[in-house]
Amino acid sequence: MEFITDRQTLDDLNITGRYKSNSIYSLFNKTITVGGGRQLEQLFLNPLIDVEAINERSKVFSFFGNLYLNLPFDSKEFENTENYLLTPTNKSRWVAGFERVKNKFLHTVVNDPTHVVLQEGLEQTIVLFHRIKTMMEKITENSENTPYHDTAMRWNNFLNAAKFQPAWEAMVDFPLSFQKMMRFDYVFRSLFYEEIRELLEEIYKIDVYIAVSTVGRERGFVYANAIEKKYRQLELKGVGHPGIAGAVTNDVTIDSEKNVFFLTGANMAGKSTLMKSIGVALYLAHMGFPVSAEHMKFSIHDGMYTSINVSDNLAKGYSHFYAEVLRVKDIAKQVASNKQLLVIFDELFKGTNVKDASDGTVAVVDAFSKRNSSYIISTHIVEAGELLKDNDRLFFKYLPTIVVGNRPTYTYTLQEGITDDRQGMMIIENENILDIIKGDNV
Amino acid sequence: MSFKTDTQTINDLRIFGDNTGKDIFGIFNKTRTGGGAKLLKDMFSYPLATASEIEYRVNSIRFFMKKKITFPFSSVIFDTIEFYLSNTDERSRLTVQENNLKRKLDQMVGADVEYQQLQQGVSDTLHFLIGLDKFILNLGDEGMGSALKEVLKKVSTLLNKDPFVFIKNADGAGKLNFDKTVQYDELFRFRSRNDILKLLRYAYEIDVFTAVADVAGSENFTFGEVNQQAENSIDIEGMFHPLVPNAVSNDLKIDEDNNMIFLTGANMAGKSTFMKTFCIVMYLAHMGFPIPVSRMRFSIQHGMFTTINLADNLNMGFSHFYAEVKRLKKVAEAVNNNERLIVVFDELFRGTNVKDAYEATIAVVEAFATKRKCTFIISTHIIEAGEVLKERSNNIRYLYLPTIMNSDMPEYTYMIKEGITEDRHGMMIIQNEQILDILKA
Repeated sequence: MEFITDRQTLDDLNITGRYKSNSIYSLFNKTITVGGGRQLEQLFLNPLIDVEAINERSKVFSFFGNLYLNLPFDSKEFENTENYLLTPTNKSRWVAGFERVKNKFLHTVVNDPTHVVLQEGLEQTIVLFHRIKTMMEKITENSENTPYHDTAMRWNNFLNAAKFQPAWEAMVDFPLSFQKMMRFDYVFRSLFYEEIRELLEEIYKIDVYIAVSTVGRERGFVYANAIEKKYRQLELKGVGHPGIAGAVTNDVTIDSEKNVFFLTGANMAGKSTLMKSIGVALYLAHMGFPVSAEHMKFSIHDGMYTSINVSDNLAKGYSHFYAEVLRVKDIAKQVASNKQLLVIFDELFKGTNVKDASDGTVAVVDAFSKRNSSYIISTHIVEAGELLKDNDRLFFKYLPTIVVGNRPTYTYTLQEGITDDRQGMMIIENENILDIIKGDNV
Repeated sequence: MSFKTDTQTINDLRIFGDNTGKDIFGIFNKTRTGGGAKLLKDMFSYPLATASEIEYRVNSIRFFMKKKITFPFSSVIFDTIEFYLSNTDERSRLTVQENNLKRKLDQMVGADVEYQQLQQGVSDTLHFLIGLDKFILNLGDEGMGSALKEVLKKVSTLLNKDPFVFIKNADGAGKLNFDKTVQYDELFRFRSRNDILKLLRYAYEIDVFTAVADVAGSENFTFGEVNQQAENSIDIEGMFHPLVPNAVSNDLKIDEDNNMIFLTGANMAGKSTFMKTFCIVMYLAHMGFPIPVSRMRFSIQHGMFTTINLADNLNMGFSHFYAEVKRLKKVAEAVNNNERLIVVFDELFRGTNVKDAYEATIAVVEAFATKRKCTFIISTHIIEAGEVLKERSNNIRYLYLPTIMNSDMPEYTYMIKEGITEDRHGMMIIQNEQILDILKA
């Protein structure tokens, strides 16, 4: 079982996208190691749907956020160490030792560089791992009563093992003698090969923990509280868009009583941004990530579907409207099979006439409201809202437009009710188009 | 005065496409020479806006078509000639004094490449002149329009001018000797270079006319007839889209009492194709080219602005609407400054919500309709706007492209009909997909 979503949703919310500077992924992608970046990507592709896993992960993030930790190396140093550790060698102490002697011999006779490279790599690795040991000690000290304690203990013990002691002690008299080099090289690359690989993986994770929690801390994000699916609740206080600094925030609660949020407002009033903010918050919350809100409590959702900013692709013609209908059908099937989804529809059935768009919206919203799942529906068809007024599963809010002179301004703060604010005609009038056509103005 | 248009229009109509040949230019681009292709491209880039220029083209192509004249030259010689004439470097000029032992030795061992190239250029140019002269003499002027006659006379005059008289007796056979090569080179490349270039241009024009005449025959195109009356009128019978296989033909009549077409129909019913067909027909008619129609009579227009595939790379509802408004403003200014424009908007205001689109469509269509000398086609989903417009303007024609529901599957006739579509297949499709039943179950 995994969190269900689709490409359009990820695009609408601009969640993934390694090379998009303004994606949610890139907002959090402050990792130092290449492996960390890979891990982060995996987290984005696989949101969790288990309450305990989510809460545990967010506790780990929160723990790291409170530690104010930095990785004790930069990406270049770590890459050198990785290169050294991952250079293949023989598992057997004697064969590996023979290889080192051969390297040394070749270095002396024909100036073969392998020996020098290995020696430098080993020395850097010892220094770097010693710093990691110090970091692990600090993590372990503070991790009492956190889900990370066991992991921290494990690696702390590992790095304090007797086998490593001579290496730490040798740091004072680098360069290493050939004899010591053979010995430590064997410890790092042969004896503890598997453990070191695992430790590297753990360091990638720590990289992610630090990167994500630092972004969350610096931006004042909070960790959401996940509850069981059966509660069917999405409670957000002060939710804003994580990509917009200083964004106006709003409170939104969608619960099992009132599960359809009917949103109206003019084009620039901030509907899309609000809908995206909620979608992004729920997505990040399922990853255990910090969310851009003051407080968030949510029941587990099985997935999320959005259609925001669907540009009307005329070349596709009929098939565009049809594709939208098919997508709604697909969502309907999932809802009917008792999945708990977050469904966000912005201007449903845009590519058709007013009557069909209105009838379609009313019929579909009414049918959806009788089922579980959380819905956010926006439309300009005020009549559709009027027709749905008596449905007590819906609640109505709008984003206001305040016209000053003939210029619209926006508060971005939700209000109760329905609005039919629009500025399509205002823009046309401001541009004097009708006067220009009639020739009164030229 | 020229026919005004812009890049948006050229792209909408696929006048020039992406070099795949699937564009309007590609249909006609059957010229045999590079110079001919260039001239053809110029003709496509600058449609005409005067009756005399259009009639000259029409009559000339028609004449070549009727006489079944083929292009009288081998196309390879033009590349040689163009290259040869482009070299005007004095140092490459041949002189008689150079005909010394060294040159003969060079020639014997094949080392004198430069001279050989020049000799080839001279020889091809000579063949071109002889060929052109013969072609004009044999053409005969029966059925030829007076304008074309005039042009051909200019060619004859040039060819009969003093320095070229010798070609009457030259046969072009055999290899030119050094002395003759030097003499002709001096004439072609230096003394009468401009005359040669002019003659080449006439040859390219002949190339274009014969090529277009061929296309007209094979594609079953006919010529439009210019209507010189003061009142604007366009009358087309049997127009079809030249790039659509087995395209359906439609008729369309525009006059000053019916100058605004309010076009509705389902998404796949063929609204865009209908509008593009009309625009391509009008565009080609203003080039004096054969047209994919069975009959056509039209008043000369001053330009054309279409908005069919407006770029919406901004991927934001509002921004697309804003792009539409900007475009609308530009077109509105053009309408205000010119009589007789053709203005086409496909799915006007699709970038905004249906309510804004409804209001804006009514306001803009009503305003445009007052410009009775211009021709408008505006397509929309917002069929409700049509009902209101019926009460406000009396010079709007309502046309639609029907959808026939064959059990559950929509079928399209692509035949234009009077009225506003009644098709509301939106709800029907929603019902067919049983979305509501799925949720009720």
